[in-house]
Amino acid sequence: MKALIIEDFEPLRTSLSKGLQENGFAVDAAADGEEGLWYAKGGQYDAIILDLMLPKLDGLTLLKKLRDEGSQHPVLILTARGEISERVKGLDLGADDYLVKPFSFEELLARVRALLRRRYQERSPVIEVGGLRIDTAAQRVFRGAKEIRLTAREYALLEFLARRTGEVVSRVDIWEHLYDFDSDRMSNVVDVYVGYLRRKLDVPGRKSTIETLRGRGYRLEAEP
Amino acid sequence: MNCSLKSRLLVGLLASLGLLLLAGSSVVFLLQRELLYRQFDRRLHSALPVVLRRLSPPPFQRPSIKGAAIPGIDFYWVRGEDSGQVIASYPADQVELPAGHEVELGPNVFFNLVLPDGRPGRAMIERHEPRDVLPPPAEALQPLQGPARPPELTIAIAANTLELRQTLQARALIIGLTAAIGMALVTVIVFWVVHRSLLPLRPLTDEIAQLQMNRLDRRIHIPGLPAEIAPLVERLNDLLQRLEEGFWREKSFTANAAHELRTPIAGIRSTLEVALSRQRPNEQYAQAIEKSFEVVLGLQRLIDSLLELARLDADQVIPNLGPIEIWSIVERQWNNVCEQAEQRRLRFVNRLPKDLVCSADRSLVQRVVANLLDNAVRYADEGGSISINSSLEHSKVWVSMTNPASELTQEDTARMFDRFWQKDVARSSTGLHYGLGLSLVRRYVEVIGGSIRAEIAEKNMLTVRIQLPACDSKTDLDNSLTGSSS
Repeated sequence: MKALIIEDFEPLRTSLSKGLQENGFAVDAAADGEEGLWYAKGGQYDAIILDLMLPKLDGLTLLKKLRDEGSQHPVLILTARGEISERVKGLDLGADDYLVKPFSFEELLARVRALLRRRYQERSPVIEVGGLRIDTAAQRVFRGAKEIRLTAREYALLEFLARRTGEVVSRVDIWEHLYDFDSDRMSNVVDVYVGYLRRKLDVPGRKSTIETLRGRGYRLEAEP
Repeated sequence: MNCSLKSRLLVGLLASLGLLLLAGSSVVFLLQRELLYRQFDRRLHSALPVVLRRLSPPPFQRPSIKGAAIPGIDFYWVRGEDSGQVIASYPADQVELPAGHEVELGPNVFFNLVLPDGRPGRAMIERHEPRDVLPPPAEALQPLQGPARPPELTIAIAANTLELRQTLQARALIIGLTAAIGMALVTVIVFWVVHRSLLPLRPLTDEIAQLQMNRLDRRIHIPGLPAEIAPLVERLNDLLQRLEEGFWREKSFTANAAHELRTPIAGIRSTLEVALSRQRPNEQYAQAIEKSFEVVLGLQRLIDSLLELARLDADQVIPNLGPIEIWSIVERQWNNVCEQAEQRRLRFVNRLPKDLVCSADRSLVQRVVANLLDNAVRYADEGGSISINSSLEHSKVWVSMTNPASELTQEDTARMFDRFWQKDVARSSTGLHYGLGLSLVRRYVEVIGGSIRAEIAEKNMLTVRIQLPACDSKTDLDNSLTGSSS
């Protein structure tokens, strides 16, 4: 999952980036409105965390521009003003949720996860696919009663594929959703992580959970 | 006690109009009375020749026509002044004048009296020479022995005044009734006019009653207000305007303060929360603590500034005014920022005269200068020059600081001393700048008794001008310098 943080206050921006990265997100971060808009237009984000009071281009204007261009990215706005009118304005302009500063990081994470579920039209935080049970809230994966321990990157890749069960997902798609802007696009990092995942998920003697479609990408099958 | 404007106006207007009506009708009545009496008197006077014609010729030896009535006349009486005898009278046996005749005799004297039959009457009494009025017949003059002096007569003629009195009473009644009806009409009109005039006061009261703290944008608008009340409403609307502005300033100040506090707190909270969310190497904890500490220092500065503003607003900052030398203060404060200025390739020109002295509070002026120089070094166009000048006008010292600032507009200069104003909401990495510095500067200058303004001149040059009271005399400074050095 990939998130964009647009926040001008450096300590907040840094800690949110770090926190989200540690929870399996690829994170891009922008310090002002113009930079934020540039990122948002160019990337594939599963969530944009947008501060309203920004230099160069304020958050509400940024949001309006984004929505006017037809962007569907889920947006969570951060506001320092408690006034209802500003939140209403933000939601009316196309924000999906809001948080009033100061907020708990746990709550921010939960709200971002809820945004993702909405995006992929799921009700439950638990996804069952290919004999696996993925608890997206706790970020834990089980086969039957046995837990499979995954790193944050591995988990993110699995969740991304699981949310698109049955679909062919291209390497570029995976890269755009899971890796931040600074990663090297040309590396075979996706293939490497798919390899790691297969080693942990696959049951010996059975078909691989993640199917490779040569030249097209990967697919996670609903039935094992 | 409540004094009703309406009842006061009504009482005043009605009393004066009533008095006016009373006076008017009295005058009319008196004129009528005078007119009627004159008519009556003319009637009495016109009876005089009739009486004279009835007298026997002179020398009036005997009463000639005693008892003969004259129509319209109830009484007459003629006395020869030579003989002192009454020579004619009606009624016949009337020898004396009836009561009420104690008057000076003269031509055309009229007086009221009681007639012999008891009725009230009015009489005319006149001393008279018959020849003047009536030449005696030619045959009557024959028996005269020589030229005789014509005898003087005193003649009184009277008639009853019953009819006159009735007429007068009737007229009085008519005048009185007219006045009463007039008064009633006047009362109605006055009442109506006063009521109508004061009618707009009620909607005004209602509108004022509807004013509320959370709806200060309301203005009182009542069409057709009288000229006396309209200015009142105008002033009230002015007051509301000022209240609204003040309230809005206060509200936005609180909101801004809350906003400025929330973001750094969010930063601290999120930094610490993420750091604590899992086991980490010690350096990472230390980093989080360090970052939080920086933010806390910034917060402390913000709170200090807010408290300082609150103290200034509550007039708790009392300036310790005395003669101070500006030049040295500027030089000292420049030393604190010159390193930063060098990094931005800024030049500094201090054109203040070294002996320029003004009356101000040293520590406050230091803070003002430090703040302005800090701003200039931070925001002046890179490679430009910061120059400080002064001028003396009408015992006021003007100190001005000029530097190129191509990003600022004329509108910015009007707002740059507002609290939390920032050209851009960009914060420095740790949120150390909140846009309170210049508002503090303005308040400091005001406390000292000066004023401050900013303007953009040609070529994007920003000039901040501070006016300070000049020092009364150089001796003050000398005294203070010797005092402080001893």
